Amino acid sequence: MQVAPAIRSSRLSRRATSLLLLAPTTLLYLTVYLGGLVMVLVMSIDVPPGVDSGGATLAHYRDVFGSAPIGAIVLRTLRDSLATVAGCLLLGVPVARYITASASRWKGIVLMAVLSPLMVSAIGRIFGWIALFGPGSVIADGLTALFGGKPTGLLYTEAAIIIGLTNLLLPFMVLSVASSRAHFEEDMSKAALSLGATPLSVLLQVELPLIFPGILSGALIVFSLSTTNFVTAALLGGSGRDLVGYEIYLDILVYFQQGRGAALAMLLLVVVVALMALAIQTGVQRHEVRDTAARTRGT
Amino acid sequence: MSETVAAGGPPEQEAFLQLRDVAKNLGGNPVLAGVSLDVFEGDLLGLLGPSGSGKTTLLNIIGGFTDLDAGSVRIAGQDLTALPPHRRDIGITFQKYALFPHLTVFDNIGFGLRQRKVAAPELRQRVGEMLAVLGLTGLAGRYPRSLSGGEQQRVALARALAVRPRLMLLDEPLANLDAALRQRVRFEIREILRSTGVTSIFVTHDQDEAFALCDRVAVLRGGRIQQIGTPAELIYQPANAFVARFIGSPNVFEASVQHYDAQTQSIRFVRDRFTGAACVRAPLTPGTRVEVFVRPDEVVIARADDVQPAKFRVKDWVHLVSGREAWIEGPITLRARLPSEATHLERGAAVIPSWRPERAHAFAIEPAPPAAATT
Amino acid sequence: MMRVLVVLAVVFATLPGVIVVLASLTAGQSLAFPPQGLSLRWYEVIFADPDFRDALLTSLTLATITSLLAVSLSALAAISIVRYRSRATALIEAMLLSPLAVPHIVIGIGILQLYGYFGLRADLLTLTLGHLIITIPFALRMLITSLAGMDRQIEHAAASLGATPRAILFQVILPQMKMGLLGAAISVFILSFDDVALTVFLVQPGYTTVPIMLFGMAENQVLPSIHAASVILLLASWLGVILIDRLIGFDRFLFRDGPSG
Ligand SMILES: Nc1ncnc2c1ncn2[C@@H]1O[C@H](COP(=O)(O)OP(=O)(O)OP(=O)(O)O)[C@@H](O)[C@H]1O
Ligand SMILES: [Mg+2]
Repeated sequence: MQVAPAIRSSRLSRRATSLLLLAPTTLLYLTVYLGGLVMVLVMSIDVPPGVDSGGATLAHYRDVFGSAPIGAIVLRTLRDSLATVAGCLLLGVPVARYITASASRWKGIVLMAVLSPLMVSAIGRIFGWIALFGPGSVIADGLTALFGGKPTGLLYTEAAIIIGLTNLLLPFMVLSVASSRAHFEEDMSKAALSLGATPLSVLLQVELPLIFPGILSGALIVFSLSTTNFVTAALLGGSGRDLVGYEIYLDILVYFQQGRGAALAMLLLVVVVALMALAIQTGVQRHEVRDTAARTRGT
Repeated sequence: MSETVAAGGPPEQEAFLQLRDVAKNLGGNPVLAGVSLDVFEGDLLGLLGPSGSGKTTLLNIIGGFTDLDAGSVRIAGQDLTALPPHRRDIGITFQKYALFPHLTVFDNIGFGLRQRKVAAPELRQRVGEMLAVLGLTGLAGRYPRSLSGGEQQRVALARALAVRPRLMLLDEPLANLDAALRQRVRFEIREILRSTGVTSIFVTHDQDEAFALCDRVAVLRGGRIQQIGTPAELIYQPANAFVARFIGSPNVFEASVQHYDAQTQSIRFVRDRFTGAACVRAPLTPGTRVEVFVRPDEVVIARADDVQPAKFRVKDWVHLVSGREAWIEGPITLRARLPSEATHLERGAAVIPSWRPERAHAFAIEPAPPAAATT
Repeated sequence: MMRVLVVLAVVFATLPGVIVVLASLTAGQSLAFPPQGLSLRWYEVIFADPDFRDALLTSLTLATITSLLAVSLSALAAISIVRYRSRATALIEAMLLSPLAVPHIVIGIGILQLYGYFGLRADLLTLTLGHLIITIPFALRMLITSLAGMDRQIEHAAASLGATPRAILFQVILPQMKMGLLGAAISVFILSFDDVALTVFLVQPGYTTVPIMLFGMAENQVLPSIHAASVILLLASWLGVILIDRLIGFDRFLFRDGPSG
């Protein structure tokens, strides 16, 4: 099919305009962002100073897999992240159902209370837990009175990390489930009830299958955000070497084991990107993942 | 496919808007397959077609929002292909109005004048004129979302007309109005377009609307123009089976040709033991399968007397605003419209249907092309 | 049962914020809740600290500049992505949104290494570039959504009335995106004002932000002035939430049209 030159040139100028609009941002990302990611990769296979074999090495990866504490750290990360997912499910699913049900009276207030933390200073809130759990607090005194032992309370325990992470990541679960519940209409449950289903079987056979993608993508998002988190672990955690994210932070900024930290970071990157891709696939609507969003909040 | 069909005006006059073999593929489908069309200065042409026939796409091409794949669009002899939309000077009203939500009614109407750097006093005066003409004077300060559908529609019209474009394109301007309002606004639009004398194309899928408003109507289907003509031509001389079926919701039935009369260009057909007459556009040999189209208001029914073998019986009555419709059943089922005061025929009564031959149209049924298997 | 869990979730979600506000008002020396007596003395202490005042100024400047730049760049990018869709723009869109799925700790390490390689020191420019990387995806996502929801024919109408592409951009598209731009600007401000995960890799002694200062202080300072500083961060974000709720409606901001129904 022949295309008039005038049309071709107008298409060309449209393309030029579009790329011009994208140019500054693309340039920034290519240099600072992708450049940085390449640096991490390079760092992770860079030959350690002192060894002059030249070229690349997998020594740092061997170091990661070979080191004794890493097994324990990964295990603890998995345990804490799964516990966080469980906590978010327990509280998040009822909240998501409540704010999407038409009859809810306090919808606005519940929505604001549970979802506004997406926007509210994560680090600021962590100090709330420190005040509540730390030595001298009601909870610490109560625990000492009940069980005896050290007066440091819950602070610096795994329980504190799990509570902190659940508090941080609850909104993601709520958003994900609430969005998937947009596909559930209350008339459906009325229809099911009129056909003789019990409320429980309506929940299990009608509603659950519909919101399941939301639950799954919420779980994946919460899981990956908690594995990469280090701020909560650093402030509420115990010995320090609790979670993978914190381990990387320590390697890079405290122990100066750049290669090992970078290798660990690359492994984490691969796992998390895979989980996120899965979450995007499962998420009912693509735009929900924008709210993977506030992942920044304290990761 | 490139034969040009003139819409109005003496043929020697150069058409104001000329489309030649306009073709457009979207997503692999030929949405427009070689449309050629002439519209003469001052004309109001209706563009009628079922949903998805390519009407909006055609307007988008004329307006410059969609590139064409082949063919050309000319206005007053000037080729528009390379002209961007904002330099075409074509007024458009959109299917869903597309008013600027962030501007008041006044600023919506003044938008085009502002682009043309019209000075404030003149702008105020011209917007004021448009407000008055369209009966919107009290609404100047309001925002579009606070207007009713009919008011929004008039703002859209005022906005397009305010710049005095050389061509107006109206895409189903009445589609979102309720029935009563549609009737009224239909004539308002006709009056306004007439009084401004602007050349216009009025898109609709409602034939009543097209016939009420336009001098000439082009019927579009599957990206091809089927026929262009006055309403009467479309009704009484449909060019093909599609137009015959599309206009006036006729009775449709299959039959076979018994006899062709070259003098009157008509046939006698037979269907089971029922025979009738219909006019044709081309000679047909006896035995050809045809589709016959006859509108209910052309069908006359009479009570069958004892001599005639009654082939039809009244099955049911339907009351319409314009009269009553009888469903009669025989070898075929027919609808026949009767004025309300006509004799009552009880259900089950034996009747004979008939019509004037020139009011029924028969077209040979073309064997389905083998390629159709792919669609 | 469900009701009980909802109430529990509301309490759980709001608890730490409320606790830290109350704990910051203590008259005593202890970080712990409940506070001993009420006073504003720890706010006086924190504001008297020149390091804190520097950090606060840095944070505010950084967040303001990041917000303006991220929103402007995202607006241009969103218009290109939504209105001139092509294979190239789709690829670029994927790249610009990808930091949503990449752990910020990894981005942080990368930028740290990159800056180190080129000998760049922590200053407003280097921090801003880092913050742009993590905030643009949010702004872009929001603006793409708001732009994609806009009726394309409104732009066609403007063109048919003689508006040039430039006039369409400034007189038709941007005014309609006003609320989206505002929402994006507020979110980016808060994200930037509050970030630890990335910023911790970019700061240097003598040039730091409030959240990073808090992060460092947690390990060695045990005075309630740390709570007072937290409350300042909280207040800024609460103000942002209230603004968004008043201007756009918080549920619309999160779900576009509110969570179902
Ligand atoms: N971008 C596109 N990609 C693929 N197909 C398209 C595209 N735009 C339109 N079409 C198809 O082109 C055909 C004509 O569309 P068009 O909008 O012109 O129809 P229309 O006659 O205006 O219909 P309506 O009366 O419903 O407004 C339709 O079948 C439509 O599905
Ligand atoms: Mg249309």
